[in-house]
Amino acid sequence: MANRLSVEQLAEMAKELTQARIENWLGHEFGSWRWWVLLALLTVPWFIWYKLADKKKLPELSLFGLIIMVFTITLDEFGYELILWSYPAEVIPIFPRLTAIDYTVVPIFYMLIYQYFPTWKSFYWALGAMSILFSFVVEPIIVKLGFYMLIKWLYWYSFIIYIIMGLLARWITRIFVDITQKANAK
Amino acid sequence: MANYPSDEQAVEMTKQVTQAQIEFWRHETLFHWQFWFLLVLLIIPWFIWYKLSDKKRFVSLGIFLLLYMILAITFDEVFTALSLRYYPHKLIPLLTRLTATDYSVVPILFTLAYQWFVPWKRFFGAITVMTMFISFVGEPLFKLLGLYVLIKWKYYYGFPVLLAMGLLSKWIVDTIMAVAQKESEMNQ
Repeated sequence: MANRLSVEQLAEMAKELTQARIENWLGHEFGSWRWWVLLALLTVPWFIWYKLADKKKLPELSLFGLIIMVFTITLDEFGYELILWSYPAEVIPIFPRLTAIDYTVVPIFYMLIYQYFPTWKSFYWALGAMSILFSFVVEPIIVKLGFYMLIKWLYWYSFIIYIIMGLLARWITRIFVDITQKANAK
Repeated sequence: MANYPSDEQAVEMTKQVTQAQIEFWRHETLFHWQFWFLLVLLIIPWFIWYKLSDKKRFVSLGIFLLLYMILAITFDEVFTALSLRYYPHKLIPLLTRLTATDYSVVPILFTLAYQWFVPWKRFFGAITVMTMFISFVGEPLFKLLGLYVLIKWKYYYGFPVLLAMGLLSKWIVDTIMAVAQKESEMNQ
């Protein structure tokens, strides 16, 4: 009983944590080369994507990409709060996650494979290859470069999550597309 | 010695806050009425939305819904992190925001407005009324129920943000649909 905190104390603790994150970020991240890299990763891929995207399928691709984005934003926050992993570098200190990757790089890669591999079978293979690349090549590299810290996490956990996210998002997107097509065919 | 908190200290503080929140949640929220209320609020609107939604425009409505959801999640997190407000009771103690409203009620209400009020002028009128309702009826009600603590927040702060998110979402979705439409016409 005694060691349980009141709502006011919890709010105060959360406030101090944000304060510490901001100070840590201003102290050694803001303006560093890592910060610039993340800023570039947050913005540049959108331009590349817009060039590459099949404009006829833009609604379907956007729907798929936004589903992936909701997954990455939510899961990344879980992992961070549970201290499964940590991001020593951030674009904006108040988000407990790797903003550039969640909001840009990952959804865009998923949208591109969704576009280039339209059948389930080809999508499986592409998704598998991309997940291997993300979990066993990209993640170790960004750990080495100091963007990412594994605390209670293993690369192959990421691999499974990348696969499930892709399958689930594609399945949901197809349901939306099918319902729309059926309604318009009537 | 640097005069700012180190990465390790930030991680340690995160750990303490998370543990305190889980502790509070286990005793004060889980299976209390607040928990069931938020759970119902998270799930039921989806069924209502599915019934009411125009299936012919299901893809564009889906895009609008997700876009608004992402904006709501992001801004709610910014305001909460800046300690402008605080949510004592959470469905899941790990998400710092009000999951039930961000992932369900609010995006769904705006998506219905997007479906029913197509011209910009009518859409603007509809979301203005809705935003006023959310800011000046919904939020005070949540405060009364103890689900919401205002720290440096005033009810009218939310008003322009909700409105701007609605306008931005409509603009983006309409643009996406127009680009696709133009492209398919060109190829015919």
